[in-house]
Amino acid sequence: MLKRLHEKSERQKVTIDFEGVQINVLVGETVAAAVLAAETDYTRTSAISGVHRAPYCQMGICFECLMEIDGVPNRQACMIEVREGMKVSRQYGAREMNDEV
Amino acid sequence: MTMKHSDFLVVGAGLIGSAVACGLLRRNHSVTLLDEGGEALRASLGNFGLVWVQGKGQGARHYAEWCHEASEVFPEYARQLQDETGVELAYRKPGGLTLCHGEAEYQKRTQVLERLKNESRHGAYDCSMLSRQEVQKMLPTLTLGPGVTGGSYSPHDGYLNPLALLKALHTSITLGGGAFCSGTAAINIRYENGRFLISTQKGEFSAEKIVLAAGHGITRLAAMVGMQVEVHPQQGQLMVTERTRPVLSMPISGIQQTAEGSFIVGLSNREVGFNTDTDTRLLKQMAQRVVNAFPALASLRIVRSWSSLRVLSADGLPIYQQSEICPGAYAITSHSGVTLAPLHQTHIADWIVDGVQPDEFENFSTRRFDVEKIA
Repeated sequence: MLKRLHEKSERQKVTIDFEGVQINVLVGETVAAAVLAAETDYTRTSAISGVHRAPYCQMGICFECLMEIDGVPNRQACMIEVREGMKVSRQYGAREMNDEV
Repeated sequence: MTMKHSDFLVVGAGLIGSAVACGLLRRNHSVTLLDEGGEALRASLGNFGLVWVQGKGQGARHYAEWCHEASEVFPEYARQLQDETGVELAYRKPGGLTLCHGEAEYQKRTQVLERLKNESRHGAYDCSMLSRQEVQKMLPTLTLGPGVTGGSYSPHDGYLNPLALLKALHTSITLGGGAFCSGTAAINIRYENGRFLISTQKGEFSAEKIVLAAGHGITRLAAMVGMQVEVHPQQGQLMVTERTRPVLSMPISGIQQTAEGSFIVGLSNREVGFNTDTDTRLLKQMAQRVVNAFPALASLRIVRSWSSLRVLSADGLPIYQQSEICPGAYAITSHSGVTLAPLHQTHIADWIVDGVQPDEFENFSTRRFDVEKIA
């Protein structure tokens, strides 16, 4: 399993909500890093085949890490820092689009 | 270094060279495909993916009919290519729309279609103007913006994944026994004793006949075998959004939703030489037009943008030319590499194999430019 190199870090912690579970994570890490460190098995399902996917490149290129963050779908979890009280869930398939205009 | 010989050498492994190579292989000839390296300007990789008929060929009935013929055979062509290679092309033919914003655009589009209809054989040109309400009926899951006045609809239009088409052609070439040489740019061409010799950094290649389909590289290469083939770059910029559930059921000139759910937007043309930079102001204008067409798309994030250089002849139409000085050398170039792929694979390949030029190809010869000069 993935482990933080700085497990005994003195850095401040915050709590985020991942799929209804509260997890303690370090300030300054990305959402992708935080959920991976929490032994998450997958973070999205493919919009095409439905198979499970997880963060890959961790630098904003591959779009494997898409998650719903604070109600906004398809966010790149590897490009967003955690914040106290953040609500994170898996991106299940393609996002919906609201056509009420 | 030994010389590699084959019946045919095709220079350029984009959509055009690859389609022609597939056709030559189908006629049981040995074919070697020479492709440039990573520095190549690849129009085939920047493509929007339309198999498109409507609006094409004003003042050029032969081109309008050529595109129409391609769209007629495309469903069967795509099915066969997909079955043969296992590459999913995502080809669909639901018809296509061109949207009009405001009254002036609607009037202008009406005139374009009237002209095409008048020029067509027996007025058979099959594309009609639709009112705003009729367009909305065709797109039930996406609300039109208030400024959309209507549009034109043709049942002959469709779209596919252009990268998948290129991959399928390359797969077909390999399966058919063609030799694919990448990173092998043609440096020089000589014509000796009825044979063509092409030098590259990876040695010399020879063939009885050669096909030049090298995009922007065609002018330099064609000149080496006595042909004057002028093309110029026209830049198009594209952007792609995040994926969403399918909501747009048919391609619109400049806006389409891919089989995977991304929207692709491509609504620009600029004459900026070989510049491939994107321009934020222009991308913003394109995004604004899309949002004017479908306000709901404003919520989508754009994840990538790029530009590509169209390969255009002086009149924008294809060039199919055999060298008069070095018979057996052919220059093939067209902006419609996707739409015309099935015809390049059949009619063009047959012409090159059999040496008999179909009558209608005279219209696509470079001789048309000589006539203009005289006039």
